[in-house]
Amino acid sequence: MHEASIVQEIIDITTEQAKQNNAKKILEVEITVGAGAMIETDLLASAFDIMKYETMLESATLKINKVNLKLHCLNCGKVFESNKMVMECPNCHSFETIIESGREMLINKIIAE
Amino acid sequence: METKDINLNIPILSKNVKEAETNKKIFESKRLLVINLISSPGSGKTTLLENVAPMLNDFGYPSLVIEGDIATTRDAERINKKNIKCVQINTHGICHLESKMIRKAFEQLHVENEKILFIENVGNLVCPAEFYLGEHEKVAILSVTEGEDKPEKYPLLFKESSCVLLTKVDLLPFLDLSKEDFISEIRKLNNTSPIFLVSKKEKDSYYKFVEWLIQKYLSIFGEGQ
Repeated sequence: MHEASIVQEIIDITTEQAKQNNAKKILEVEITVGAGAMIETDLLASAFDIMKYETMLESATLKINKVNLKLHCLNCGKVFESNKMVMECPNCHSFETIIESGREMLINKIIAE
Repeated sequence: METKDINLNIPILSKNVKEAETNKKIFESKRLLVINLISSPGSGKTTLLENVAPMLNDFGYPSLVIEGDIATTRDAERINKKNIKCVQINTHGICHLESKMIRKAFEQLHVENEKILFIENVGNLVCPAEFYLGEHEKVAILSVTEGEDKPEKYPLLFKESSCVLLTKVDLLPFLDLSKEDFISEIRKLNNTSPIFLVSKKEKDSYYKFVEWLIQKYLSIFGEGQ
């Protein structure tokens, strides 16, 4: 829902880090997006391609690592993964589930010159 | 030119979340409990405030309201008629409130001895649940006329709400549904948050929610001034 805002944050953070490392141009940004972050990675990539113009990332490619949501069901004990934000246990259909991991959004690294 | 790999491992928080965290600090510095009211259009959020805010005032917990709508100031006018300070945000098309909008609106409110800030979000069961505004509690409101299937259809909101208000319960005899139908559907998503059944035809029905709000206030800010 707020992919453009995320792209702006990516641009701001990586630009700041590149400057701190005396780089003038960013060639690649690698990020990790968990399924639980509720970000449409296709939309994120499209927004990036538009918003990178006239920034230090103008020539940069965006590499997205997708990570599954990992949940466990308090009702039947099942541990399961999903590539989408879900709340229902596929085994017993209870919604009494806890998300263990997979909500993160992280900038892993940049390649810069 | 020499290229280098720069490892970062920096989390990305949207600007909205950062602004929300600033909002929260501001609210807490003013000792305000902040409640984000989320529901479909027409579920009864404004009616709830018209009834609950004066009751809270009588108990020594005056409140303020930020109203959110795409257009008009109709809700703010209703709240102002009850002598409750209120500011209206018009989003002009955006389907949810965001943190920066809340901060701008809050700056227009002159906080005196008020203890609770209600944010009446744009009528929408989807997007508002995804946008943290800096509130302490997210409260879902569902009217009986919307049907008992709505919690399961909009799971994020009902799962994450600190309490759920079921409104217009006076209309239950006209529907082929019982309050238990709604309660069991809500409980599928959320086993722990209290469910309050309310109706503007029965003023006493609001007491338990008012009590819950006061308890929340005390648990965060304690008894002292």
